[in-house]
Amino acid sequence: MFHRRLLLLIAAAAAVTLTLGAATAKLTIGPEQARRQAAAEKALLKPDLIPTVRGRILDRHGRVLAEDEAAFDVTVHYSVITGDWAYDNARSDARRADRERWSEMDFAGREKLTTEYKQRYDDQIEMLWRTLAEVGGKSRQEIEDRRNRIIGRVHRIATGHTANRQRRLTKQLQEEVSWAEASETVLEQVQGHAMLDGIDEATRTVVMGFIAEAEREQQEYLRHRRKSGFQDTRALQVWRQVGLQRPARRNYPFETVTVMLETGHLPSALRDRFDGQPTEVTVRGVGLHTLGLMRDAWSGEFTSRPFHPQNDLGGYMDGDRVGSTGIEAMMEDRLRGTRGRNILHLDSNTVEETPAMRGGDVRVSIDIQLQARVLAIMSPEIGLMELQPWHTRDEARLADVGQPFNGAAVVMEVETGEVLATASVPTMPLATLREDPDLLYGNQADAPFRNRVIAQPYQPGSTLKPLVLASVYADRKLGLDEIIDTPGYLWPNKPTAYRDWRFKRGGAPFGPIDGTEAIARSSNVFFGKMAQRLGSEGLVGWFEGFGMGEPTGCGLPGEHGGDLPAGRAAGTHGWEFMGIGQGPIRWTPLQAANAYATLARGGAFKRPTYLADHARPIERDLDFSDQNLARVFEGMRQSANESHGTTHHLSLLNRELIFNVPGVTVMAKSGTADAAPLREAIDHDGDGLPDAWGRVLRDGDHSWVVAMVQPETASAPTHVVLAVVEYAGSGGQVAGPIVNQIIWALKQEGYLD
Amino acid sequence: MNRWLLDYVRSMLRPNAGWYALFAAVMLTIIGVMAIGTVEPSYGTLQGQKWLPVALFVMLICMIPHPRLIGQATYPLAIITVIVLAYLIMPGAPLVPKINGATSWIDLPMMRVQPSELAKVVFVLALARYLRYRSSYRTLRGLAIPFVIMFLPVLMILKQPDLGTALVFAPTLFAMLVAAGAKLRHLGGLLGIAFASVAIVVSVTLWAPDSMQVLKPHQRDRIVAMVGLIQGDTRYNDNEAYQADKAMTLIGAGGISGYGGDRASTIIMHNRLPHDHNDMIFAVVVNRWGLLGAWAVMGLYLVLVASMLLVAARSKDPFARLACVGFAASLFTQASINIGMHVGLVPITGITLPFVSYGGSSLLATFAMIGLTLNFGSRRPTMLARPSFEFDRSRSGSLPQATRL
Repeated sequence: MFHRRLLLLIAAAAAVTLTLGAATAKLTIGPEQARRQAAAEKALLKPDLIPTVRGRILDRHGRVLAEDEAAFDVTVHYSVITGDWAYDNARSDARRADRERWSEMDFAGREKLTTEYKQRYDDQIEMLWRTLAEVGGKSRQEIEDRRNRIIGRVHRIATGHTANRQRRLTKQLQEEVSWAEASETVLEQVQGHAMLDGIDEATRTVVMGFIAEAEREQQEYLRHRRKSGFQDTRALQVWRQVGLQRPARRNYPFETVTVMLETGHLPSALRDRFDGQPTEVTVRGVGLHTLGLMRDAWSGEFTSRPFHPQNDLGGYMDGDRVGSTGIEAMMEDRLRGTRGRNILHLDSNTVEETPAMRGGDVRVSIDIQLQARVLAIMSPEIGLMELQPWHTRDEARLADVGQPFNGAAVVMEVETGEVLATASVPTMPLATLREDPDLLYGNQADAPFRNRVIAQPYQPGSTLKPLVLASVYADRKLGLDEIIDTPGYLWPNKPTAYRDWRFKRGGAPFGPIDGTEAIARSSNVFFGKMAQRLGSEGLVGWFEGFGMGEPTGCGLPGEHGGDLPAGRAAGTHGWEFMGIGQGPIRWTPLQAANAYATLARGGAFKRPTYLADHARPIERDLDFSDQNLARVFEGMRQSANESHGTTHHLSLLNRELIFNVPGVTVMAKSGTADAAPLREAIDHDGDGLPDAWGRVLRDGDHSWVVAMVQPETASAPTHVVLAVVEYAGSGGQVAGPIVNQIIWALKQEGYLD
Repeated sequence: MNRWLLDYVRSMLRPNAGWYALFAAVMLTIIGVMAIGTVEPSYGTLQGQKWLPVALFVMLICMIPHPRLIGQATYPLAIITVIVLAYLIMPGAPLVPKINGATSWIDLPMMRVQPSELAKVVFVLALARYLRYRSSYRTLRGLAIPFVIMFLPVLMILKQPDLGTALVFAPTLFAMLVAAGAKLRHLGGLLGIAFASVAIVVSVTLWAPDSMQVLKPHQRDRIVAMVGLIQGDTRYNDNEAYQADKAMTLIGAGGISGYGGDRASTIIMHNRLPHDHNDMIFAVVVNRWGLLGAWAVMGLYLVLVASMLLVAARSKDPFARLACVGFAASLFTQASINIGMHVGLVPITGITLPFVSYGGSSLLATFAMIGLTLNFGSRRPTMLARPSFEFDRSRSGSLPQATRL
C-alpha cells in the first residue's frame, strides 16, 4: 500500500509539473510570447521627446507678433506645491517600515505615524522653495505668493469643472448628483506648474544640476536599498518633481504699444483736451483678437491627431498647447511644428535621433503699427469711443456723456482683399487674460473676448444703400439718370412707417432726386422704391453677390455669416426695409468691408484674407459698369465732401468737417442702424446660457461709417475703412470722426502716398 | 578505527537513489548560481562560493548520524525550533531585524539565519517521528494531532509574518499522511474543505471585498489583481500586479531558448523586476534559458522528488520513509508555488525557489534534506521492533513487517 501511495504522490507531482510546464509554454510560445517580448524589450529604450518651437507670426512688414518664449520655466509638480507630496511619501514610508503594525492601526494612529515621517519631506520642500527663491532672484515671500496663486487657480478650475459636471450629470441622469460624486481630478492637479518664469541660462544650469543630482541619488538608492543595513539618506527627492519646460506661453512683443497720436485734426471738442498737442496713448491687447490665443490640447485633438511614437511625433498629447482662436488656430498645422525624439538604447548606449522641426512662420496681412494706431484712436483716452455732447440731439442722453462705447473697425486693401488692421473694442489685455481671465470672460455685456470684426453681426443700416444702387443700376431697374420722387414716406397709406430721416425730423422731403443725390442725402424712400423695383429675391440675390449671408471665408475660426433671409422668407412682411439695411439682415464688419472692396473693384468679388501675399482669386464678377460705379462713387463722394452729405460735417459741433485728411479722396456712407436693446442676461441654473433677460444695459442705434479712400492721384479707391460703434446714435456723427482718424493713421503709415 | 571509518564512508557512498536527488539538487543550485549571477553578480558569487560549500558541508554532516539517533534527537530539535520561532515573534527581541516588515531572521555573527527554513526540516522529522508506528490517523479524530503539530510552527511563522514559508507545511503534512496510509476519503474531505475555503475567500474577495476581513488589504488586492491578470485586465499592472506582470513579461520574452546571459541581464535590469535574485529567480531562469531552461528546472525537480520517493520506497525504516516523503513534498510544494506565482496561477507571495533562489538559510535547509535523504538511502534494512505506520487491513495485527520481509 505504501508503494501505491508513493505512486499516487509521484503521479500528482507529475501532473503539477505538467500544468506548470504548460503554463510556462503558453507564455513563451506564440503571440503571447511576441507581445511579452515586445513589452520587455521596450524597457531597453529610453525615449526622450525634444520639444519643438512653434512658428512665429509676423506682420506684413516682418515684425514678430507672436513667438514662443526662448527661455525656460522651472516647473514643480502640483503635489509638491500643495504639500501632498510630503504627506504621500511619509505615509508610504510609514506603511513600508512596519506593514504589520500599519495594518492593525486605526486612522488616528496612521496619521500620527505619518506625521513622524513627514518632517523629512517638508524640509526638502522648504529647501526647494528657498533654493528657487535664491536662484530665481525672488524673495521667499514671492515664491509663497506664487504657490498660493497656483493653488487658488487650480482650485478654481477644479471647482468649476466639478460644478459643471455636477450640473451636466444631474441633467443627464435626472437625479441629484452630489458634489463628491461629480468631483474628479483635473489635469492641472497632476502636472507641473511654473514657479519661476523665463530663467536665464545660468539659473537653468543650476536647476539642471539639482535635478541630475537627485536622479543620481535615486539610482544609488535603487542599487543599494537591498543591502543589509542600508540607510535611506536621500535628501533631494523633491527635485525629481522639478522640471524645466519651454514655457507654455506665447510672447507677443506688440501686445502693448505706446502710440504718439496727433490730436490737431480731432473734432475741436476733443482737440481742446490736448491743446492740439500730440499725445501718447498706451494700448494693450493689440492684435490679440486677430492673432488668437492658445489653450491646452483636449480630447478633440487627441482624437483627430493623436501623438504616436512611430507614426506621428507631431501629434497631440497631454500638456500640448494648441491655437484656440484667431491666426493661432487658423494656421495651427503650419505653426505647430513636429517634436523630435532621442531614443537611448540602454543596451548599446547608442542614441537614435529624430530632430525636432520647428513650426513654420506665418506672415499676416496686418500692419501692427497701423493696428496699434487704430486701437489708440478708439481708446477711451481720446474720447471718440465715448458719448460726447455733440453726438446726440436727445437731451436725455446727455446725462450719460462719457459713457464708453464698444465697437469695431476694419481697414482693408481693395486690390488684394488683405486686412491691414482691425479693432474690436473693448480689447483683451494679455495681463488680465493671464491673471484674472474671469474679468474678461465673465463680462457678457461688453464681451471683450469676442472679435467683433468677424463674430458680431450688426444691421447694416444705410451703409447698404450704395450696394443697392449699384445693383438696381446693374439690373437696369433704374435708369442711370432717372429721377425718383421722394415725398418723405414710402407708403402713402402708412405715411409714418417708412420715412426719410429729414422728413421724420420735421424737415422738407428730398423731392425728386437721382441715385447720386439719394446716396449723398441717404434717402430712405428712394431706396425703399429701389427695393420694390428689385423685389425681395432680387435684393437677396445681389446681397449674396456681395458676400452677405455666409462667412467671408477669411479663415479665422468663429466667424459669423451674418443674417440674410433666403427663398420665401425674403418676401415676408416689411422686406422693403432690407433696401435701407434694416429688417432681417445683418452683417459683420468684415463682411461690410469686403462688400465695399467688391464695389471698389467694380464688382469683382474676392474673399478677404488675413495672410500677407495670399490674395484670393476673383470668385465672381458682379459686373458693374463704369457709369454705374461713377454715380455710386459720386454719391459717396458727395456724402463726405458736400455740405448736403450725411458724412460731411458734425452738425452739433459748428459744422466741423468730418473728413479732413489732405491729399486723400474720401467717399463715404454713414449708417444709423436700428438695434435691439442689449439686456442683462440672467442665468438661473448657472449653465452659462441665459434663461431670461433682465434690465436694458444698452439701447439706441448702431453707428456706421464706411469709407473708400484713395490718394488724390489714384484713379480708384485703394482702401476701405469702416467703423461701427454700438448703441452710439448717428452714424456720421459718431463713427465718422473715428474713420477720419483711421484715414489719418493710414496716411501716416504711408498707405495713401 | 581507520577501518571502521573506511567502512562507514564506504557504506555512506553505497549507490542509492539519493544520489540522483543530490545530482538534481546540485544541478539546480548551479543553475541558480548562474541565474543569480545574471542579475546580481556579487550574490551569485556568494551563493556559489560560500553558501554552496557550506550547504554541502551541512549535507555531509547530515549524512553521518544513524537514523535512529536522528529520530531520538527530533523532538528536542522540534522544541528548540519552536522556542526559536517564538523568540522571533517576541516584540523587540535582540538580533531580530525587521526586513520588509517581517521578523523572520536572526542576525548571527557569520550569517543571517532564517529559522523558518530549518523549521521545515525539523517539522518533517518530527512528523515522521510521530507517525512512524501509529495508525491512529486512520480515523478522522486521529488526524488532529498531526494537524496540531503542523499548526504550531505555521502559526508562529505566519505571525512573523511569512505566509510563503507557512504555505509549504500543509501540503507537506498531506503528502506524509497520504504516504503513511491515512484514509484518502478523510484527506480528500479535508482537501475539499480547504479548496472550498479558498474558493469562498477568492469569491468574497472579488465580489464583496469589504466582507473579507480575514485577509489584509494587500492580500485582498493581490487576489483581485491575480484574477485580473488571468483575465487579461491590465489595470493592476502598475501596482498590485506589477511583480506578477513583470515576471510573466520576462518569462514570455525568454521564448523557447532564452536571451542568453548578457542580454537577459540587461533586459531584466531595465524591466526592474523586484526580488529578481531570490523570490523571482524563475523569471530570470526562463528569460536567460527560455522554455527549455524552465522545463529543465521542472524536470530536475521531478527527478529530485522521484529519487527521494524512491529512497522512501526502498527504505524499510518508517521514520526514514516518511521523512523522505516529507522532504520531497516540502521541496516540491515550495517549487510549485514559486513557479505557479511566476506563471500567474498563484498569487504573489514571498517564497523562494529551492536550491535556485539566493539565500544561505534556504540552501542549508534544502541540502540538509538531501543529506538526510542520502543518509536514509544508504542504510541497510534493519530489524524493526514493532509494526511501522504502513497499514494493511489484511495483515493488521500480524507480525512486524520487517520480520516478514
